[in-house]
Amino acid sequence: MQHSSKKLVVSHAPFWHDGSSLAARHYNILLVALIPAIAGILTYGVPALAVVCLSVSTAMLWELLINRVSKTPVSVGDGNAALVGLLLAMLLPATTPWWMVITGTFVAIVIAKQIFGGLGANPFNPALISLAILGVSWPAFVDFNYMLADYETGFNMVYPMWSAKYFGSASVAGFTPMDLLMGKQAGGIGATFGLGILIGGIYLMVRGYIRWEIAVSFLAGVFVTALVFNLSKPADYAGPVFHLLTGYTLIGAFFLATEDSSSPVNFVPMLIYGAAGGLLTVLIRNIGVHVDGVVFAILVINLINPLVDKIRPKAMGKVA
Amino acid sequence: MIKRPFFGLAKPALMYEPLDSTLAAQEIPAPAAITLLVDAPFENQMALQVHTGDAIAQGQAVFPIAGSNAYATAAMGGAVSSVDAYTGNFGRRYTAVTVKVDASAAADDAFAQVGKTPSLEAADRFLRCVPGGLPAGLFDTPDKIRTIVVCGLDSDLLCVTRQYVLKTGMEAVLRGAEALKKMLGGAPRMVLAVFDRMAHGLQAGGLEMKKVGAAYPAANPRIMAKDLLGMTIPADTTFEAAGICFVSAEAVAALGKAYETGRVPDRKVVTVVLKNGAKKLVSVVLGTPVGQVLSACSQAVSENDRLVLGGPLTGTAVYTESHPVGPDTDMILVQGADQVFEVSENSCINCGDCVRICPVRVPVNVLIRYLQAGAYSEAVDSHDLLSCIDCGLCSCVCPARIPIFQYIQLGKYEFARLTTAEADHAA
Repeated sequence: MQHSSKKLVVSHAPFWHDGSSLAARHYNILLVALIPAIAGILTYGVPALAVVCLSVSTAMLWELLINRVSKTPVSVGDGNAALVGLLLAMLLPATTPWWMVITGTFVAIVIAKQIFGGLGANPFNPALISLAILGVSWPAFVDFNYMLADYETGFNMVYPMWSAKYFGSASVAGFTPMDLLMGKQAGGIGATFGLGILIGGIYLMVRGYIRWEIAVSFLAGVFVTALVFNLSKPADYAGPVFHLLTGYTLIGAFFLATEDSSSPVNFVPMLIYGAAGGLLTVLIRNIGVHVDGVVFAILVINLINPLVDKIRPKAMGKVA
Repeated sequence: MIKRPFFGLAKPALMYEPLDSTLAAQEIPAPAAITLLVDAPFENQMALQVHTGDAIAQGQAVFPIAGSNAYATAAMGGAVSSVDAYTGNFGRRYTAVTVKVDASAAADDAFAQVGKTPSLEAADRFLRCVPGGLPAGLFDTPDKIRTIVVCGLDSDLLCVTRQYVLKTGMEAVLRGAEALKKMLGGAPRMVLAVFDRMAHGLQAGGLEMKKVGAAYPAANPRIMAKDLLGMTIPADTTFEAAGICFVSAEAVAALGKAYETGRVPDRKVVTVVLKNGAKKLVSVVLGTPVGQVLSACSQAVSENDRLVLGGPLTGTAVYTESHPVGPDTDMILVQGADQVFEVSENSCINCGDCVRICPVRVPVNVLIRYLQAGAYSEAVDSHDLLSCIDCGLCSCVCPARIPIFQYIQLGKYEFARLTTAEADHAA
């Protein structure tokens, strides 16, 4: 057999790829996350813009730094670090001090993501780990009533979750669902514009960039649990629609619980995971110590993810 | 090339290629030299039975290595011009015998003498390498075979070879199926598997016709065993051990022709897909270098292109244009450098696209972690490595571009080595 000197590319099958990529996936999520983030910036002005910019840029810098230190290929381009930075900023109050943002992205990227092995290896949602640590370390700085006290926005700036928890459902009767959807409530920079999050979430579900089962079952879990509480004691516990549209519920359902690495992929596990997250969220809100339950609810379901994801159909031809 | 659907919620549906009724196989002239790739390692000169300069008769079964039953049938006669070692995927070693074609060379009549009535012994001796290729299991465990499935459908995308054979040579297929049945003592159930759209008006004679949908991988043998015959073959069992033998319709037609004419057919139908996506059907002398087939199709091959024998999902890339067209080369796919996508060293991000597209429900997202870590026994025991039917879909849709299919093949190969070593140790 004679060989020509022409060098051909040799690789293993398959020789086709559908063109999907990590970057496309993350930039799509990033782009739609910008809708509620920009709405937050319009409401809270330059301080919010500063938090978002600082968070995204430092998250990317931490990623680059770890790439350099660990001598791994630079992974900033896949968009995940920027996405984590943006999501963290969306959860923070507009007036978060700069050092807290930098600490937050350090925790998210270095501790919650890279130490576990980088993209795909993090057992918990990095943005939520970061927010949980910030909240435990400096509780006052993630308290929206305290942080947003000086804002004149033209709507009621009492944090609705706090109001409902300590003063019962009557205290939040003034918040109409339309107000909540349009972002006329106090809260995280990118967590209040419900309509924007919904539009983005639906886009991501339809494009297949997030798993719809998780988002839908999470929302269903919140709705049903809140409804049960509300029916049992309407005066103490706010209604299900209020719970769906306030706090971190929507951003949690579409952007946080659906994080690839820390959530299941099989159908039944996704439903269990999402519904458990919704249930825990309302439990923590109504009878727990925290004002909003989304952060710890999702961290807890992240914890059960590997276990529930073992519920899966039997492979064809499997012996025993 | 395929594209991720805009609405990624829906699974991408990959369809087998329908046969374009205007396509006719273009006959490519016999080459000046053919190469016989024999499945036996060329380890030392002493074991060599075929030497440079030896005369080879047309139709002769060439056994290059002493002590090995592996042979290849010389489609053309001539003189041996070289004998080399050739290494394929996963270290498979072959002996490549190149024959300089001499049109006046004598024809070998050994088969004509024994080939009057179909017999397994004669087929084993002369017909293993007919165009289309007969499966080894047919000869290894003939008494276990209960069902023979004649595959009139192509196993990979873009390919139309077997559909074409079915359309143009149904009588030969029926004669071949008759011969095949006789070889096995008349006992086995004979099934003809065809695509739905081809079934209309097809005269299946004594064959039981079964229809298969056009969505990939419906024509995969394990899927067909389940869908057509209602048999789920256990993951660690071969088809032959389960009593089913899948034979290409082209091989069956070649059997029919061999018994009719008394000589082993020497030409094979090949689907050629060019860089621009154009498709051609050609009839090629077995052993013709791929490069010559392509130049006959006016397809220039340049540096950094990719030559694939077989389809886009399950084929094999070859590293030289001199690689011969073999009995099982149903298709040649040429990709320009711009069509070659790169795989990556990313780790799995757990998006689950592979799990959703897997036709046999293998937990690919977890499996790949075990495979990347080299934990092959665990991959088999608890993550269904052996259930994989080698369709290649998971790699196609992986956004991290992990060469999943390659990891799976490596895993199966290493696991087989591991079990062989353990068995040897225990013995």
